[in-house]
Amino acid sequence: MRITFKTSIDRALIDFSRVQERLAELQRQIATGKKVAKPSDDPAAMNRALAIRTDLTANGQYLRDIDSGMARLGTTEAALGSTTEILQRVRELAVLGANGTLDQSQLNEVASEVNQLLEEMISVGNTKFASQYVFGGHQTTATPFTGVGVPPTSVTYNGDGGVIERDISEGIRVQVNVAGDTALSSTFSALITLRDDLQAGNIAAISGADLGNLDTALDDVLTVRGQLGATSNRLELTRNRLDGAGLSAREQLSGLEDADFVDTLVRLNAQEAALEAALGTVARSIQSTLLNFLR
Amino acid sequence: MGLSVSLDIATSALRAQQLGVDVVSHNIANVNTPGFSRQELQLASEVSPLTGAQGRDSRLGQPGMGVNASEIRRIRDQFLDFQVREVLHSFGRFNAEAGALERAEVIFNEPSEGGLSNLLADFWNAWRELSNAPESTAARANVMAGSQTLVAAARQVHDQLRRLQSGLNGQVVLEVSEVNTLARQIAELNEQIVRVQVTGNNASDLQDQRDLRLDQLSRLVDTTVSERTDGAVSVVVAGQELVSGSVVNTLTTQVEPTNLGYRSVRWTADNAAAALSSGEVYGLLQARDVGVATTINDLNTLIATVITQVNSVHQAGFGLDNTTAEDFFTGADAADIGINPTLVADVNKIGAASGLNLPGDASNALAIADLQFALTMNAGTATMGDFYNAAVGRLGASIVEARSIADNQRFLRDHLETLRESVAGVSLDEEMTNLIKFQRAFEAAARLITVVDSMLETLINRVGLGGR
Repeated sequence: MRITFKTSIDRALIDFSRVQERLAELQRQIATGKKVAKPSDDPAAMNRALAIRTDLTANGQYLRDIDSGMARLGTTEAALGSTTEILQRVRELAVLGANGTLDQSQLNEVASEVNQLLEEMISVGNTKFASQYVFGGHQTTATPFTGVGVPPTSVTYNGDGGVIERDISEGIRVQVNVAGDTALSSTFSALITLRDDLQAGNIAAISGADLGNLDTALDDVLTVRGQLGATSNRLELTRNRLDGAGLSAREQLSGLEDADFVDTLVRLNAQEAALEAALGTVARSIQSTLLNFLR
Repeated sequence: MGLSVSLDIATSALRAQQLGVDVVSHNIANVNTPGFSRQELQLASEVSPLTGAQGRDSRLGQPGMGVNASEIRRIRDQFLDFQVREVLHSFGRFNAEAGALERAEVIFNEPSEGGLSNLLADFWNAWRELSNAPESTAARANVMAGSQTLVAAARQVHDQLRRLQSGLNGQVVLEVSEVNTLARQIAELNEQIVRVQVTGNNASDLQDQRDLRLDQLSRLVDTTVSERTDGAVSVVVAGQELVSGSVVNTLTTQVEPTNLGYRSVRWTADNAAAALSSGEVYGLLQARDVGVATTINDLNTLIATVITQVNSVHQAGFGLDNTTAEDFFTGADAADIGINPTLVADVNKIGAASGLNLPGDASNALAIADLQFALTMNAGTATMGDFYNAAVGRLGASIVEARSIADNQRFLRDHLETLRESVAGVSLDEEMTNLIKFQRAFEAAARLITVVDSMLETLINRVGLGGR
């Protein structure tokens, strides 16, 4: 082939622009650490990467939902723990009242302690989690339990049976509340009846029905606490699963998007060497023309 | 033959070698001129008029009468021109298309935090976050903020894609007028070339200029060039003659109300649509009416689904103040999507609950979040996220396709242009060698005259003086 001055120059320019394009791409990969930076770099990888990113974003939200659910369950569980303690103390008082050794004035003192525990129990029933009343069902902004009269002769439930749920992973929803009336109404009525029987000196009722009522209330609370514990475990397990899934999704994403640092550096060096060699060759060849030798 | 004939021969040699030097000078002067083809002086020996029947001494034969500079010819391979032009319009088409789609890709800004894919995921998440505290104004404000970011991004992507489209439209108009300018220049050069060639002269430099214009034109539109016997060329574009001799049939553009007011390319003479099939103009039209238009349609389909799906679920919800039957979004697609101003003014009206007076109920918010995984697109086979990711993937794939063809064509073009340059390009080494060749021949011819001169002197001054 006949090679002219312009052919050498043009070919050199074409070669340089190619090598430099590749160099620029490799430098970008090293600077950003990404081999896929835009859809056209690898449309199939990008498609999958976007789907994985969406999953990861959703997972992040599920983890926040789980944390929020666990915290709510924790608050509820603590309130029910207090309820158990109160019921156990009240049961001790009921046993004391039932053995028949106390006179009426002493029974009245016991009754007044039961009344105080009743009021304490009402405030436990109105426990809040992040400004939500946990026992009110969907009525999270109104106090679920109000005592009627002073001292209270009955306790009204203002909540409803509403179910509060959290999304904990795709398509899976878990209830994170208990309705206050099912959990606590037996407790309130047991306390009120016991207090009234103590004041009336009705030892037979105290040792009979009242102790039975307290045991039923304790059972009710324990059943609910058991359910809450199971839900907590489930949330914990789901959290672990999501953490694991997130980790493997991140690995997949990295495999799809991230540049192999060592490989990229080696290729960058190779391209740089190629560019220098090409530059050197052209520099020599374009200097030597016949003109250098004619005088 | 007399000595005067010898002088004539020497003179013809002087003239021819000087002409050779001129041709070399012209070549060197144009070493960097785009489109220039090197020229070569054709020399032929001058045959004696006495050769043949009238020859006086036919046994000996007659010496020739010197040298004749018969032609200054340009060295060019027209088949290479044809090949280069074939590649140029194909390169022009795919390069323009890839360039336009690459700009669309930048507008989508994927993958990134600010990309629609992520903002859409954030939007669904905001509804789930609301379920953690439906009675709280802060969580509601969070839903509003996420929605506003999504709306702003969708509209921005849409508006930028439309701007890209109208930018391409403007480029079509510019390039069509460039086609017309080149066509006029080619017609003008046709006229000059015919005029020069009629007189038997060579129009090499004019032909070079015409070839350069033809190359430029071939990048813009798909041309078929044929040379006529009178030296003029005719250029056929999209089945019609754009240039025929000195006549130009120009192209024009016309606003098409049915295609968003973008312009179509038409023949000025009869206003018929120009059926372009390649070249940069066609690439721009394809990008405008197919590539970018499809992308905008995809975006609109997605956003329209988001609007109708979210609205239909939100309609069933109740706000903290028992507001119900409110749309969440306004608008029909990405062009005009907005958020119901009633909700913007009071986030407590966002319908998170499924009934009256249920401040702690977020089941409707969760129903909206569920839409993320509902198969609402492609006739119930894809989620909105799937649809969007596939659309972005398609855009990427069409860029890869156009770019790889364009790169191929560029490689071919570079190769063919190198070949063409190797035929037609000026080699300085060659020219210097030729210069020396002509210089030496000129010197020898000059010496010839000196010798003949001294021979004449011998005859005139010395002959007939014998015995003096």
